[in-house]
Amino acid sequence: MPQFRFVLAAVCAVASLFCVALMAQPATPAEDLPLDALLNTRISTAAKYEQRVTDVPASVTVITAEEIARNGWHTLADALASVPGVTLTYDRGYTYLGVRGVGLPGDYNNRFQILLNGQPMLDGVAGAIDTGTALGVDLSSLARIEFVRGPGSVLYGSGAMFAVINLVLKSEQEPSSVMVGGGSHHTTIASGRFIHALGGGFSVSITGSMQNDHGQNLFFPEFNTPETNNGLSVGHDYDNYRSLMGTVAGHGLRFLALTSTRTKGVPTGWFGSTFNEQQQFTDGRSLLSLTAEHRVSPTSHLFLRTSYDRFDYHGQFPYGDQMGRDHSSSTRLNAELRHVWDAKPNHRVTFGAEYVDNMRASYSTSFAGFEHTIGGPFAVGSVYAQSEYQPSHSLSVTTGLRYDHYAHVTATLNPRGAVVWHIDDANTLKVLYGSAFRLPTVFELGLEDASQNFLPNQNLRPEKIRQYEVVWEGRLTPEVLVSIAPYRLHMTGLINPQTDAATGITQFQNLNDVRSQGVELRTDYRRSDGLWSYASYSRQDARENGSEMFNSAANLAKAGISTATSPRFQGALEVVYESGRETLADRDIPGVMLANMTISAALRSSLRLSVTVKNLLNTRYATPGGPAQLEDTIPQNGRTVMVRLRIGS
Amino acid sequence: MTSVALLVMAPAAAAHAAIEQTSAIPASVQLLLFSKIWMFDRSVHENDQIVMAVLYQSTFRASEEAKDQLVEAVRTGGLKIRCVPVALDDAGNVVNTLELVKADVFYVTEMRGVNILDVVHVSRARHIKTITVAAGYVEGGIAIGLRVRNDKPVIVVNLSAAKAEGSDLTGQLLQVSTIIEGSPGSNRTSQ
Repeated sequence: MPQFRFVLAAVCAVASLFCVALMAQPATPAEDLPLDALLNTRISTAAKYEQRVTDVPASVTVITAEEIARNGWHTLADALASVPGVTLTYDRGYTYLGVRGVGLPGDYNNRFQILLNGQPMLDGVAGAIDTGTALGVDLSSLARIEFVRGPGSVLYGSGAMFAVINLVLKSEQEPSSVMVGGGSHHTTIASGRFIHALGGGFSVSITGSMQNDHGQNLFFPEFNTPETNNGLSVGHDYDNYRSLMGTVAGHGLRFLALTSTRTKGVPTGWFGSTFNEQQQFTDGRSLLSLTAEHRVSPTSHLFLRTSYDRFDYHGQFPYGDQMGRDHSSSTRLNAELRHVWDAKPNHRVTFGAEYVDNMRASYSTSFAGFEHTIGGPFAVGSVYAQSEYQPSHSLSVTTGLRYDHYAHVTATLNPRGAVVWHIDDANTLKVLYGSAFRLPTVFELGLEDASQNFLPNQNLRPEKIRQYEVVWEGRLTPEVLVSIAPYRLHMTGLINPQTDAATGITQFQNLNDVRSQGVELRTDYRRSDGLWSYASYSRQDARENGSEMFNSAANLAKAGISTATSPRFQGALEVVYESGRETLADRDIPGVMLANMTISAALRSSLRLSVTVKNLLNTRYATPGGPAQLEDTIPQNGRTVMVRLRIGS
Repeated sequence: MTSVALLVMAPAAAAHAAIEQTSAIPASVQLLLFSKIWMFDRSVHENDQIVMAVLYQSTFRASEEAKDQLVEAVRTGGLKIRCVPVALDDAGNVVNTLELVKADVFYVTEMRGVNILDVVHVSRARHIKTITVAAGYVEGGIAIGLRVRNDKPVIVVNLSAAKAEGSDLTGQLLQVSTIIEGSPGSNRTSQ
């Protein structure tokens, strides 16, 4: 009964806010036609130069800073949960993305490219990047998130198989802000962003963020024995991070420095370690990046990006009275030179070359006095070219090709092609083809465990993917946008551990084949008074070697409604339904419906108090465990509450 | 570490002008804002109708659409503005084309392959005001631009360019604007 009252009160609060919004005054000019603003937003992820959303040769979702603020999203995963076709899997260590029915827990998201202002964030050992708290980027520092579906290797190389996700930072002119908050599980969070004009045309921004989260005590039936505390993991779900980022920009230069560390307790007993003992891992990242843009002539732009990126992972996992430790270390130097040439006003050509020197890429384990290390330095060199030609006012044709040479394995060639047809002012049709690849990781090439009869395989080839997609975007009214995107993808050489029945030897091998087809429907309704809503439905049929794909939900439905953050009271409600998924043990997990809500009030002009409730209905649910867990399913959080006080914008 | 530092610092040698994000401000909002800006320009007489030449490229869709949206906004906006679209499809003939255009204001859409300094040269010689929402153009010599900052439009003024065009902006306007000084193109005007 108290739960019902809580939900009723929450729903009433949000309903009141929407009533206020519905009765609001007519739009102020600055907020006129928000769908126009969305469609005219310039994004740079799809072509590596700015294009309007409606013109880009890709299926794109843009999440703006306003949407992040409205919904109280704390992590990238929170924000991406609203994107059509995206599923999340949290194994209480990392949060894994799935797109279009394909999402593999334990892949460390290495089939996605996540960029920070165009700078790749992957590590060199596992191609890993977390979308949860280990990401190291505070969402309040972002101007927008650009989510570009489909293969993106022509521009971004290895790993850009299912999507490229670019986190675009706010400029150094955006106002400063400070936020403190606290909530369920004794969580405390804080972040601050400060800007300063240095003079001479340069500005600086500094962003810091932190979280201390004690986590939950969790019950795992697989460990329900007296020796393992009857399956109860107590005090091992903590999640603490610190992040500091600075940028200096001016005169076409931008320097970025980022350092972050995140320590996560492991409540699940990863890799067969002793349950309910002190096990944790720490991810640390340091990134230095410098980009420069230079207009050589009216028809020619040069872009140069260099970076130094270091990623360290340390894990400790008890096995009885012994402590097992593992450590991965990645140091990368990356340089990219790009030339954008306007051959004619309707013909733009891009040439680029990229070199990634993985100076250090090793993974080591130590247990009972024995140490074992795999991996070593490797380099990848690439050249690419892309042409965007507009043969007529309404038609745009994009073609591209990339060649990558990977020192250890092989070379790959990846094409892309796209036709964008603006049928009329209200309708756009995009026909898209793309291919991409993922190089085998250090981990996959070299993992060896004699006790498990697990042998390395240096003959692994890159995974490959091809995707065909059609996107129709139609403006039904000035306030309503509808998009329909049927697609078909085919992935070959999926790298998975395989056990030979005759010899009992297990190795990573390129044996599996994944096909997925489906359709994504989305509608956006955005009123000029700030009331925004969306609804999407995705039907996806993903199969691995002809069988239903593990951890794949066939149906996804998402909806959300929110009011603007500028009035005194604001609210947002989002609902996600996904149908069941299959676990590694071929069990079916039932479908689940989740709701999240945020309400906020301006206490003063620059002081806002907000309350975010995730899993409002306190739904009990789980997602499939990955190969690292003994547990077949991993319980997810029930209702959690976060209260935040923000000073500034 | 020396090589690392060199690699990271290398782009500094190449940088000169930013290629920034072009604004996503709706045309109707742009017109309202520019109209208000002219109220704070002492060289603009309050009751005069303003003839605005919209400079665009018919073969570049984004440019032509920006022109279409602006023309439509002028048509429905009820403001004292008359719109004259001017196609600059021949990038080598911009100066000659603009010399013949009778206008009080050049609205410069995003264009490819056009040297903005050609537009700047004509505007300063003929005391025609220049406005834009295209990224980097104010730094390139256009006098007044609009950008989006924190989801709100902000005014950017190239002060030397504005003065060279004959504008006399009030302190009130400059107080709420981002000022860019010593822009490219200012030397050419003084020649």
